[in-house]
Amino acid sequence: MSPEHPPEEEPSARAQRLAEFFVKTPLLRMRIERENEEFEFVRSSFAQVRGAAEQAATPEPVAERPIDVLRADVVGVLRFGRHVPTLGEEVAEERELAAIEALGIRTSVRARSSGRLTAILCQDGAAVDYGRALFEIERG
Amino acid sequence: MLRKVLVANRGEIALRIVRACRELGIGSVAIFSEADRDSTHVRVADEAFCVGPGPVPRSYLNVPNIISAALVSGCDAIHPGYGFLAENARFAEICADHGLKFIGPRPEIITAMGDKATAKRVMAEAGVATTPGTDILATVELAREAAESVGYPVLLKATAGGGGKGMRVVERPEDLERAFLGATAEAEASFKDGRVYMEKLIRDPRHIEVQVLADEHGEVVHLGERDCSIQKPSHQKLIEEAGAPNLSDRARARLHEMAVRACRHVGYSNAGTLEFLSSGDDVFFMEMNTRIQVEHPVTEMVYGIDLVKEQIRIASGEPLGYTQSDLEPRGHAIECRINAEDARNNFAPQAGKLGAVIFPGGPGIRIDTHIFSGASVPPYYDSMLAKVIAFANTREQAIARMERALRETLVDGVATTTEMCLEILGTEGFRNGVYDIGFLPRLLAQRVG
Repeated sequence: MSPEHPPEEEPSARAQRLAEFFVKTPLLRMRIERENEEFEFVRSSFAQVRGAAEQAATPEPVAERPIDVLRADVVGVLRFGRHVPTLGEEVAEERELAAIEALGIRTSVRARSSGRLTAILCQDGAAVDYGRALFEIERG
Repeated sequence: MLRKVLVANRGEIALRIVRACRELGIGSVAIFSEADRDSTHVRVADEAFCVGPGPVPRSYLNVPNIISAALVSGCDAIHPGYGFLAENARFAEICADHGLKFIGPRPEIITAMGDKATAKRVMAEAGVATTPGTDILATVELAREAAESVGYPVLLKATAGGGGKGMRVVERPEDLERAFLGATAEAEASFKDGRVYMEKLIRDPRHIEVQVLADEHGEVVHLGERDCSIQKPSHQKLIEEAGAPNLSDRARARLHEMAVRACRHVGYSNAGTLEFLSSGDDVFFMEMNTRIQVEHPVTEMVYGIDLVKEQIRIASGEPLGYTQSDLEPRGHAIECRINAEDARNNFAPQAGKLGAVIFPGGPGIRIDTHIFSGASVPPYYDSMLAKVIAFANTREQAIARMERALRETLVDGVATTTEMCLEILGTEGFRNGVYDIGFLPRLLAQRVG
């Protein structure tokens, strides 16, 4: 995380982000002045600093969020079902997200595991070729 | 005229077809395997569809995906190029079933010409000279009787064959049984069709073929002959030229006349090639290829006709618009195949990433290739990287031009046949135009010796 802030960020969100950054540093005090804004963060005890330093030295384990990329295994036209997949929705394992129509045959595109739909990479009615990425699912 | 053509092939021929489409103002759709994603034909075509992973059966022979790609992209025709599905009659039928024009002859012609024994019978009916031989031989006993009648030495050949598979030379009666059983077993294993037939063995023949074009209204023309006798021991061609050197006027006229007569007899349409074996003034029909050939550019150079464009025009239903008397060859053309093969190691195919690639240019040089510096040569496909074609007013000038061009050619990263071609061009036999299909195997044997 960086103490720099994106220009469109709300001040409260920015303060929260900077505070999170500060607690991970070994600093006793951090003060940031920028245009009309001013933030100051102060630690109340040295023990907290040591704890923060140790935390910084051992990186926080990154939570594993395996992503399933569902790809086309035939050439055809992608058709969403009646239940049109929407970004962010939770999907169950084996849920049919769409089908690929080719030569009058319909091949289902199903979720390999349950999770959250994080990307819809092709639109309904699109011509898709072999290996084309169609959906991304963050396994839950 | 057709509106949009799917090119069911890869490599230089796919690029060649895309170029013809573009010049005709027709849309083009490339197909590719995952191993060919960065290939030139993919980049140059108007649209491109991946049809499967690298191995050929799952991509370039994946008929459902290829047909589906043609349909979803709005194509009205498929050009098969050469190899892969080019001589697959069932594929041509499937194209028709889906309203797609197959750019080639009708499926029943492909079937008839694809079966060598049937093709020979049909050609004999048309009055075309065929090698003395037999129809399918069901048993060793029948083969023995046939060999006595034809006269040793004889050649046993698989009717579904190609590439020398299921083929045996039999010099003496005592070798017949073993050769017959070996040929049928090999043919069965290679083609799932163990049927064999017999031909009189013609020693050291030349391989001479005639290019034909036929429209769908009955007009047939030939575009002269090509000599393709410089072949590797595996019978694959390495150097071709148009016209054939040291061919008598009588033999040449006979070849041309037989080719046209054969096409009229079977009702052929589109581009095709009739292959003959030639020995002295004798010429015998060998087989017909119902597609464009690798070596078609040498004919294009001497006749000034774009054969691939003609294929598309014919498939569009257009008449040829010219007759035989309008066609006159000019000059001489030679083609050398630059293959990713180690000529010093039995032409073992090479794969890998290419380094620098520099092709020659200058007067009279044409390069048909899909490769470029840094391109990958996948292990799944034919090893041909490029065709260098030299054209000049005389054969002597064409040889000099080809030698100059090959010396300018640089393909780093894999062994190629460039040096082998230069060595052949420098031989007295090639320079004098006196060679047959045993020429290169003999040259290689001498080198080993």
